[in-house]
This record gives sequence, structure tokens and C-alpha cells, in this order.
Amino acid sequence: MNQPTITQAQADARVTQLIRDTAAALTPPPRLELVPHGTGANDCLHDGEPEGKVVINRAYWLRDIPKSQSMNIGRQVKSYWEAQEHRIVSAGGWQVGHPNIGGVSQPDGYLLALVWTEGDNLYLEATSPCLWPDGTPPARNGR
Amino acid sequence: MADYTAAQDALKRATLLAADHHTALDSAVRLMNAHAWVGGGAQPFTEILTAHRARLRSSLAAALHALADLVVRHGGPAPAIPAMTGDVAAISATPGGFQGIDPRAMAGLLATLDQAGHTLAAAGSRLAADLSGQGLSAQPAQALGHIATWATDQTADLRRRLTRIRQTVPGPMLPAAITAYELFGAHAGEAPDLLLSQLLKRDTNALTRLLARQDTGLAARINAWWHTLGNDLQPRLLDMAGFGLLNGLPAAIRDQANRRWLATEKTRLTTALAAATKSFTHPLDIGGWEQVANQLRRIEFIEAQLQPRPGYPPPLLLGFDVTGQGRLIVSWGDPDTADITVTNVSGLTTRLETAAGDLAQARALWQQATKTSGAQTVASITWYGYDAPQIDPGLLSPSRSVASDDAAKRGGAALAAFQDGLHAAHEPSSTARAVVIGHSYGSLTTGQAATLRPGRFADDLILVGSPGVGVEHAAQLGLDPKHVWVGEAGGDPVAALGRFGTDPGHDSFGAQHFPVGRNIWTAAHSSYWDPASASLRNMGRLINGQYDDLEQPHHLDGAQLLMPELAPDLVDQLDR
Repeated sequence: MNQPTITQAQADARVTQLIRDTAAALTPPPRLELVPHGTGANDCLHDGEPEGKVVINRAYWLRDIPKSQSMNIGRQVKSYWEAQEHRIVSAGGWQVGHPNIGGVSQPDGYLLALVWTEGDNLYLEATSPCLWPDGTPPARNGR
Repeated sequence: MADYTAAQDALKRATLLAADHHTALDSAVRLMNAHAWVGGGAQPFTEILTAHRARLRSSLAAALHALADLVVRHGGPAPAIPAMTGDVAAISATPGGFQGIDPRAMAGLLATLDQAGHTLAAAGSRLAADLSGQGLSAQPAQALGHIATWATDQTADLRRRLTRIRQTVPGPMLPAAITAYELFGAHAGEAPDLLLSQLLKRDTNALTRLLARQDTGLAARINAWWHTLGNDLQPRLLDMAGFGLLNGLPAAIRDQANRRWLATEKTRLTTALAAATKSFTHPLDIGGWEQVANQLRRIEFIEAQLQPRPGYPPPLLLGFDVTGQGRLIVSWGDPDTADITVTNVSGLTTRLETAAGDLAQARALWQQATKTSGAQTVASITWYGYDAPQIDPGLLSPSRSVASDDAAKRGGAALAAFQDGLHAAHEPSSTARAVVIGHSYGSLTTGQAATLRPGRFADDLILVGSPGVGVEHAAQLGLDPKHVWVGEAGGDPVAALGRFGTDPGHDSFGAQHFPVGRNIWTAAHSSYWDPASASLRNMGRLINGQYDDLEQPHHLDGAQLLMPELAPDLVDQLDR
């Protein structure tokens, strides 16, 4: 728990890469628009993790996608993540035309998600594992 | 023969009069029955109104029977007495919710009563003349006169009150609490009025007594009282210590009053600490010094939590207490205007010093629910308003042990009163939702609270890591079991306790199960709020009422589908 981790900057680069690579594989190509809520460092709420650790999160709306293409986009995202050997761990809403997928990147364990929202919009999200902001634990910590 | 004809003519006139007037109060009764009133004078008014309607009908019937009997006594055939029909059943009186009262409905009530006052007075006079003219008792006609007088008096009182409310309360709809307590205030007659009038004199004893009460309807009374105080009286109360704790006050007012109190307490404790430090001469003095220092630390902790955070709405301080085990109630988003309000009730090992995690969970839920709610606004509240059981001290104190439900019973009453306040202070809305999430021992507290306010506590209950909620079946929680959601991560030690009633995770409990996704195999008691986890997303969807979008576990190792019964068609749909 108190071991060095990757830094916030490294995690942000990886989170961004995971989303941009996924978006680049989609047809029609979406325009990415940052979701303001949650972007950046968030408290690591996982039990047993010391206070002070954070997760790095980014989410982007998939704009310029016709509403009728939502399910098609969902299938493409799933296929792309599987092709990258990421794990698909959850899915929901498909029966009502709302593609929701949860995944975990391999081999580094970032949480991935394609999420349907009210108003027929989709966003792509990636979140890092818990890390120390500068990669090293503080001299004294724990809770 | 002349007597017979005169009696029959009088009966005909009375029959026509009854046909015209027996429904005079029906629409008024219907209007009142169409609302689910909680507290105040609305319900007593409705009961009196309903009694007058019944008396109107029975008086008209008595007059007709008296005249018919007279016809028979004069040798005529027994006349048929027409039945006085008319249904006043409510279309729907939905309990709970945030629905306000349409002022047009109340204007309609006034018009009906006004008209009834006029027409029944005239009808009573005509009927009295006919009955007296036939040598019969005029008592049934006098009853009509009494009803007419009552209707006229009510019209005047209600019109005066409605005008005043419209001058002081903005918005197209009337808040239900204000309508119940102010518009029908003449029928309220409840004890809080005395305490509230004492409160206006800044009587701290009155405030203490009000804060100790957790009865249904009190929050609505307080809300109505506050709104009718006016701009000149309201500011006087804002710097009264503890005033912001009153359930039913608008959230912005609670925040304003509590922040002032927090600042005052900080000044007082800082001075006290300096004095204690200065007079510190004996090691035994350390107890008092430490107590003051601890309270000051708690104030600084609260101040830190209230700092604005990028990406979140400004936090509202709805309640705090730095003494004892401590209290802290904070909302992200304004619960009085939010389309969806979610109250997070924590439990085991929670106390003020360790509440940072609880606050972060409420923020995480606000963020997640907001991401998927579209145009709907969300308020997420951390409610730490009771002495939750502690692990270690609980071993010595049964009332604080996780093995006891004493703390949950006391906390449940406080939580129910808090939710009353949210409902009372919310701007009228026909679509707003209230959701309560109980975590760990907090789910038992939530269950206790739900049973105290059947039908009015929440639209959805979410129970996570629950050791039981104190009832045997979800239906006993006072809402439709299809809106009781249970999530348990595998290996959750508290959920596994299952000792307070039926295990909510068991099928026999009758609740809905929602998957906690990845946490099924990362198993930990507090991992439900992991940022960006399927578990958090699912809670966000439940908060928003997006039940069809819940994520189900999928292939975990490329081959195995965990809990396939939750997603029988998932593989086919995904692979299509």
C-alpha cells in the first residue's frame, strides 16, 4: 500500500491514451468533448488504501454520433477493447438500446467504461488505479 | 284537500331545492381529498368540511322525509324521496413526494365555499319558510343556514391567508407545508406554535425543545412558519446557536446559520484553549484542555471539508456538532431545488474525525449521478446525524456496539425527521425524487427510519453491505419492494453478519439486487464507491431511476460469467 506508484502525470497520459485510442477505432469518428465532472485527481476510496492516494480520471462525451448509432458504437467499443485484450467485466442497458460497458485495461488495470446517459448521449471514461500524486508515499501516512 | 296539495307543493319545491344544493360542498371535499396532507390544519379542515357535507345531505333528506310524511298524513300516497348521489372519491392522493399545491385548486376551493355560503343561505331561508308554513320543524333548514355561515367564514379566512401567502412565497405552486400550516392555520392548533413564537424571542430553551422533537409534520410546520415570518424577522434568528439544525428550514438558510455558528464556536474555543493553556499548571488539567483542543480540531476539519472543490457544487452545511461523538450533515447540490436528492447514511466506525471518507463517497455519488442524469440536477448529502456504533468502544458499550440496534433506532428517528425536512423545504415538484443509501450499519438506521414514515421516506432505498435492516421483508419498509435495492460485495464482513432481521441479500427478503460489478471479486466492505467502478455507476443509475441500465457482471476471466442468472441474455446481446 505504501509502495511507490506511477505519477499523476503518467496516469493522466495513459488515461488519455486509452480513450483516444478507443475513439480512433470508431466509425463514424466521434468528436471528443471533455466531461467536466471528475476530470483529474479524485480521492481513492478503496478500502485499505492509505489516505492521500488518488485516482486519475478522464471522461469524454462522444459527440457527432447520430443517436441511432449508439448500439453500433457500443459493439465497436467492445470489439476494440477485446482486440486489445482488455477485459470486459460488465455490461447493461443493451436490451433498451443503451449500451453500457465496463472494462479493465490489460496489463495495467485501468478501469474503462462506455456509459449511456439521459438524453441519448455516450461518454468514454478511463480511470487509473490508486496512486500517489508524485509517485512516492509521504514520509508518514496511513489511516 | 287543500292541506294535501299545499304539502305536496312544498315537497316538490324542497325536492328541487335538494337537487340543486345537495352537492354544494362536493367539489370542495374532492379538492381537499385529492391531496395527501401531512400535518397542519388541512386534515382537520377536510374532516370538518366532510362533516358539513354529510350534514347538508342529512338535513335535506330530513326535510324531504318530514314533508313526505305530511303528504301521507294528509291522505296522499307515499311520495318517493330522490336519492342524493354524488361521489367525492379522490382521483389520486399520492403520499410523499415533493408535489406542491396548485393555487388554482385553492382558488377553486374558495370559489366553491363562497358560492355555497351564498346559495345555501338563500336555500335555507326558502326551506325554512316551507317547513314552517306546513307546521313542521325548521331545524333542517337552520342547519343549512349554519353550514352557509361556516362556508362564508371559511372563505373570508382562507382568502386572507391565501393573499398573504402569495405575497410572501414566490413560485407558481404553493409548498404543501405552507398550505397545510398557513392556509389552513385556523385548524392547525398544534403545540409547536408556542415554541415557534418563543423562538422568535431567541429563546434557546424553545430551540432545544424543538430540536428534541422528531414527530411527523414538525418540519413542515417549521418550513411554513419560516416562510411567513417575512424579511424583517428572519435575519434576527440566523446567528442563534443551533438554529440551522432545525429540519424544515430552507437548506440555504441552514447553511448560512450553521456557518455563522461554526465561526462563533471557533472564536469561543480558540479563546478557551488559550485560557486553558495559560492556566495549565497541573497534569490533571490535561483533560479539559484536550477536550477543547479536540473540538477545535473538529471545527477545523469541518472548515476544510467546506472548502469549494473544482467540479462540485459548493457544499451546504446542514448540521454539525463538535461535542460527543460529533455530527456532520453536508450537501453537495441544493436539496431544495434538486430534481434528485440522495441521502448517504453511513454506519460502522464512522465518527466526525473519520468522516472524510463518507464525504468523499457523497461527492463521488453526486458526480456519478450527475454524469448520467442529463438535465436533471442532483443533491448528494452526507448524513452523519447520530451516534453510529464504534468497533472498539462497542465491545464495552452495548448501545454503541454494531451488535445492537439501539443506535440505529435513535438514529432512525433522527434520519426520518431529517428526511421530513428535505420534503418540507423542497420547492414544489411533481417529478422530484428522494433516494436514501444506507451503508453497513447505516442501512439498519435507514431501515428503522423508513418504517417510521411509510410511503413518505424515499422513492428508492439502496442498501449496501447491510447486516440487516430490522425487518423480515422489504415490503415492511413502507415502500414498494421493487424500489428497495440491495448490493453486497462478496466477502463483505458486515453484510455477512445478517443479524438484524432477514438478510437483505437473501431472496426471501424480497428486495431487488443490483450488481456491484468489479467488486464482486475485489471484495471489500467500503469498495462500493470505487471511482469509475461499475458499482458506483450502478448506484448512480439507481439514484437517477435508470433501472434498465444497470450493469451486470460479464466475462471475468474470458470464460466465466459470474452470476449468469442476472444477465441471461447478456452474452447474446453483446456478441450480436
